[in-house]
Amino acid sequence: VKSFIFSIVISVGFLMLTLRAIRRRKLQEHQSVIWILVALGFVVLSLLLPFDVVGTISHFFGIAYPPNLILLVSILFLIIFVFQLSIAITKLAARQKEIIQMIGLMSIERPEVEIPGRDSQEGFGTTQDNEGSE
Amino acid sequence: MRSEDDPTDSTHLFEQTCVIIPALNEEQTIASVIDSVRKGMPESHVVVINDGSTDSTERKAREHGATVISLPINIGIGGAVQTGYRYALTHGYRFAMQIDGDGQHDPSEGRQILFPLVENDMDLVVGSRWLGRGDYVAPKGRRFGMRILASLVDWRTGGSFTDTTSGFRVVNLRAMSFFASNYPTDFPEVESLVLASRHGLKIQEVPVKMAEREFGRSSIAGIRSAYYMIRVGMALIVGSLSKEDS
Repeated sequence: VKSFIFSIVISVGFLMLTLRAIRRRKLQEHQSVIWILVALGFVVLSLLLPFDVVGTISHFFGIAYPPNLILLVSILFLIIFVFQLSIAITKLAARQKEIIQMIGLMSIERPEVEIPGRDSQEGFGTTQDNEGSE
Repeated sequence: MRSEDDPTDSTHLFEQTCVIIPALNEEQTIASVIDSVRKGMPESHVVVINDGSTDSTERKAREHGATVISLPINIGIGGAVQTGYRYALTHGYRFAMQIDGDGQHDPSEGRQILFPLVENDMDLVVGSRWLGRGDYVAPKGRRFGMRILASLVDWRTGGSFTDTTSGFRVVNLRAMSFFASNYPTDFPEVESLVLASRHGLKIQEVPVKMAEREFGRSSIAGIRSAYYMIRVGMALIVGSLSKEDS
């Protein structure tokens, strides 16, 4: 009974965390769907704890020790999720490179656009006499 | 005397050439590099791609008459050089030459590496420090590493390269427009050779002199070189797996 209450508290807590993050717009829609499903999954699993659902399913798959099923599913989920994140990062990096190149090229065409810069406090306005031989 | 329409007349060639100098914190050398480009190839147009330098590279480059494209955030040499290709492409240059901002290359040899583009109808010409010109010496380990790199590239391309990490190179319009939309970011010098060759571009190496780096350390030096080799090898293999996007 203790572990039942414990797991319900944790999974409901996680669900609330997820909802809070979504409300504060810290998660994209696409990502939030995944996390709501995960959180709901936790809640359902905890609620079903007394009925030994996990044990039944493990038995069906021939897994002798039921917690292993949960571990297996979790790890698979994490691997797939990290893989998806890795793809997303690659895409973001390519887009970011594109944008940075664009900003650089545009600042040549329109020197009045100031780039939040490092070296020069004087900005670009002072040095636009270099558009010589073209 | 060469005539006006002699296609190998260097004045004529330089006029159509955009010299791209990628620079990250090269305030010590950038001015002299620009000056020697303007001396060696007076008619060329010099563009410095300032890849997020935190020193006075940008100011010095402007003071010495270069067009400076400043990238707000560092994106690495591959992205910087590609920015240069894009600039050269949209501004109607026929040739784009890459020269490192650290003073390693000698712009007075610009003529030699430009030549094969017109004379042999090459698409990409790379200056190699190992073909007998100059007296470049590298530590044994580094030299050995570069040999391995070269044989890796040879294996992927079927060519016979000697200096795959050379950043002294020039492209014609065809290679320029290809690179403007496809340029590797991880190990651009090496990977671009394989990429270009897979795209059917013709590549030639010509002998050049190269100085030891005047300031700073080469990104290949140090104990990480073995790890570097493994990563380049992986990148080349992975690159060969990937489909060409154009």
